[in-house]
Amino acid sequence: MNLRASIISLVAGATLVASTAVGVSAQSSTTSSVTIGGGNFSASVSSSNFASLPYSFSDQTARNGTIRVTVSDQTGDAGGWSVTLDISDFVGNLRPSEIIPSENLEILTDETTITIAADGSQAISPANMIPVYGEFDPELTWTANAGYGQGSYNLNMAADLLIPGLTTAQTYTSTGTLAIVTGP
Amino acid sequence: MKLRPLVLATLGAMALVSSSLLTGLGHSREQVSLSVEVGGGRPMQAYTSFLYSYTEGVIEPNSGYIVFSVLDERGLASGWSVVFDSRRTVDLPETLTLDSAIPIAQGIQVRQGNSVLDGHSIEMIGSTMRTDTLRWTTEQSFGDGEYDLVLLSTMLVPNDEVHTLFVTMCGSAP
Repeated sequence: MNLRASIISLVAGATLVASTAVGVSAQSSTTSSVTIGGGNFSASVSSSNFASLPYSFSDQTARNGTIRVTVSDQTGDAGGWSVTLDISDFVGNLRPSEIIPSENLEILTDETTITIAADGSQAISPANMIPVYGEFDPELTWTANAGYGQGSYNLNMAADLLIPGLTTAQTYTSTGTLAIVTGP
Repeated sequence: MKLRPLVLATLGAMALVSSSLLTGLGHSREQVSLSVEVGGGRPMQAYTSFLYSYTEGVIEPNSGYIVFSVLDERGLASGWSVVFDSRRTVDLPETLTLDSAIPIAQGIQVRQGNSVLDGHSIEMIGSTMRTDTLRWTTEQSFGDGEYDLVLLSTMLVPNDEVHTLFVTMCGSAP
């Protein structure tokens, strides 16, 4: 029983080897390929606070606030992308019922710049990487058309905030929420 | 037999794609805070002034105006209360009698600040002989600003003497 099984196994193995040898000798060409894997898409936001102001009976403007949105598209599919930034009302820390409306925030579009955040990024195309500013919700939509925006970019914004007269002395804070609307 | 499984498989694939996109959006949100500090102002002040006619340096023994002024630029809108008591704060208390007939709406003048006067109240407190004490109060959310309370008053100066009246006001604020 064991001898017979061994013989059968040996014969089968010899057949397999022969078959393989025949296959290799039958191919006349070979192919090689390389796969470029897709990377990540990410977006982040950072800010610096407005300069402090004294209490006033009259309207005044807080200046030197900055917001930076950074988008990094390393997916490699050139599909373009779109992100939005919502900014909430500014809420008082001592009296949360007292707010400065987000409508009082003004993005200074003349001072807004787009810069490359990482070497190797595709060149900036102002006509195809367009920030659009709204007055309410959202305050910002930044879009890169298909074929553009492959790399890492910063959208650097300066902002003013109108402080109405008689605004109570305290610290007011808003929350900016960045979201990816479309993209890879 | 073959078409139905194909349709089901296609719908299943679409559902999978939608689910993946929504999940991707949820993970893509990021938040940042942006702040501004409105600093507190100066301490509250209260003072008085008189508007009387003079003849040759002597105050006429007739009616004039006494003006109570408050400047609140603390920035808290927490209200305040000031008291004027002529018996305690005027060196010749018998010379002055306040007239309580002027309504608040006419008596308070807003120099700057919150122009809403609904939260202001004035209480005249009189002795048995005359009205000589006044309490001026604002509720919370009122009184941020600079205000004058102009009241008609009678000042009687005995024997045509020249007197300098020193008046102080007591204020309190939460």
